[in-house]
Amino acid sequence: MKHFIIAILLAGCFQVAQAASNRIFVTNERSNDITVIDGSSLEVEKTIKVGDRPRGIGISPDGAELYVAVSEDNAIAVIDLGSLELLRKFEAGSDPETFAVHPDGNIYISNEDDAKASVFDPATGRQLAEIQVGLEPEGVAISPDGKHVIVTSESTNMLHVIQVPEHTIIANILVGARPRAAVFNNSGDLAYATSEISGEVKKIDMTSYEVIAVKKIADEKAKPKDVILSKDETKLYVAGGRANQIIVLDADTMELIKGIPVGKRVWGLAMSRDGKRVFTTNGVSGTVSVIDTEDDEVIKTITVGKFPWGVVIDD
Amino acid sequence: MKTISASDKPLFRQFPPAGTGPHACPRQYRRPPTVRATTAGRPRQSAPGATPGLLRPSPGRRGLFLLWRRLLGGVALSGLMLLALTCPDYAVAGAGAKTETRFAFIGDESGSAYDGVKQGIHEANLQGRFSGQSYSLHVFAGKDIDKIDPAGFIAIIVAANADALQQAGRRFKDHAVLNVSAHDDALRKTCVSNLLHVIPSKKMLDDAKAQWLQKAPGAEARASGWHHDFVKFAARDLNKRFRKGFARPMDQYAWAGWAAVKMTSDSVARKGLTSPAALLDHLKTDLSFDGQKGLDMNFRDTGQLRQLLLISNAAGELVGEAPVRGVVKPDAVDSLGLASCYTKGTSG
Repeated sequence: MKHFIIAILLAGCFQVAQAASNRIFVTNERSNDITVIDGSSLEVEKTIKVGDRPRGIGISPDGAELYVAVSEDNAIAVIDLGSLELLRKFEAGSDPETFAVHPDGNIYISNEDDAKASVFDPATGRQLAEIQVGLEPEGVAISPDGKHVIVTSESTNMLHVIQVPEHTIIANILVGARPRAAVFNNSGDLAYATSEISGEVKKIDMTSYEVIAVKKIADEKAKPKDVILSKDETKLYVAGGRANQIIVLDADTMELIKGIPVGKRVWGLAMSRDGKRVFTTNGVSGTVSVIDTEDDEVIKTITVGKFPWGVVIDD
Repeated sequence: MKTISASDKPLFRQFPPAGTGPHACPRQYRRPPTVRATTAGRPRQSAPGATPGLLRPSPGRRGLFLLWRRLLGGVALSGLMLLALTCPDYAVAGAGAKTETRFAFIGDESGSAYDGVKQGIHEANLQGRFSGQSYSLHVFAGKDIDKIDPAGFIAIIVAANADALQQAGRRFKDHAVLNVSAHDDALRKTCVSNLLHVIPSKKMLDDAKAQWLQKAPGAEARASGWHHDFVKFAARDLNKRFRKGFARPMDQYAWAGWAAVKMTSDSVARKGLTSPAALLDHLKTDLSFDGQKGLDMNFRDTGQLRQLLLISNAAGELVGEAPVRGVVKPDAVDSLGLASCYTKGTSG
């Protein structure tokens, strides 16, 4: 009996550092649920209800919990990645949309209605800090070392660089109209940011905070949204919105490598940890496209819920 | 003529409304009541976090903050300190740390265009806190146009009739004169080089309505440059901000007033423009403006801003957008109104 209890306790301990399930999670903004996709078969495994208008999605650094911004509920829902059960919800300010999870486990959220970014401890649901930024804050990106956070403010047309743990703004960078999303490189000395209305992707030197390169997307319909960097840092993947394609740019020269046709109104992107696959959410089509990054071709299209918004991989 | 300087009485007596602060900021309008109320009521983390202008946060900011708390606690302070505490932008501008950009507004202060302009000034100053700029507004009546000294203004915003607009165009011949209320087609046909029409022309509105009626024959429809229920392209956010600040729905004149300031302040911030002529040239040739209508906006050679229009029904409810999809291509904004000064035989 004693050994049995110890075994259970040990099992409990091991559960803390959970083995990755290799599942893909997608928030569906209009069907108010999350689609769970099996990473090996690429088939839909399950659908989870979370509340009204789920959008931003992320995973805790230890891989134990899934976080979902439930916009209409003004809350973050916390789901156990092992059991896929809803554990709890906590208040996360007005209309939480996009967030990023810091390596220390805290969540950085843009609160669009309030022109601020806020920091929450998801374990307690307590708000740790609030940073006033420009109008309509949207994208949140965290440097790999966790020392800097970029928040884009869409109507003030700026990237605000926030220092952690002080939570002070140390730089404000004017970029093209309606900056939407940003991503750091692995060493954190460069960042890339998309501007939806000006149709641009900008490369920023994060030591001088200067814009060092600008790529205007030729396709007029392209409203660049999410952006990610390939594992080897040679390619940028940009969600082209109404252009219905992923725009692949050379991360060094910023020249166009190719366009990958995906579903309609592509918004969200996620890359597998090994860098071999990119998943896209295609809002109007209600699908997720799976791209093989070797030759940058779509290898599968998966039907999910209505208006898929965000995507994250538990790997 | 009404000019505003530091020694003048507060111009915007309604902003902030009585009760939200110890007194109104002098010189010019700085903040709308909502933001002010938030700041005054909850002076927290956010203030030291929001670095005004420069790359490094000002070390004095936190001190100001604590003093503010004391002020709220009822501690009497000198008039100057009061000013610095309750009008932080004023304190910074007064210290000469910021570049001040001045707008002239010609028109009626009770119209919605004026509220739109004020919303624009507020948002420009919000950006200015991060970029080191400050913006002020100086109001004149239409009858005083010929008495206004053009020196010192970056741009002129006019919410008046066609005659007054043309008069302003002649008076401020090196400035961008931004029309936010006159729909007259004749103004667009004359293609005066410094008149920029942010408000749509009558012909644009008529064309939008005609396109809608091709899709819905016999329907009752009205076209406008804005609608208070428009939500796409973050229009929802702008409508919400405006309603919160001014307790009235945003109409097309308010939108045009907001847009006139925003496109100018954004150009000033990006290009560091200080001369009115350079600004005029930039607006005419190099503008890339997000008017929260989904398009990257710029001006035609007629001086008219290319833009999406909104269609409402007899009950005033928003029913559609023009260019009307299915009738013309969705991005064919030049299907609305006179496309160019050089178009021959265009009527209206």
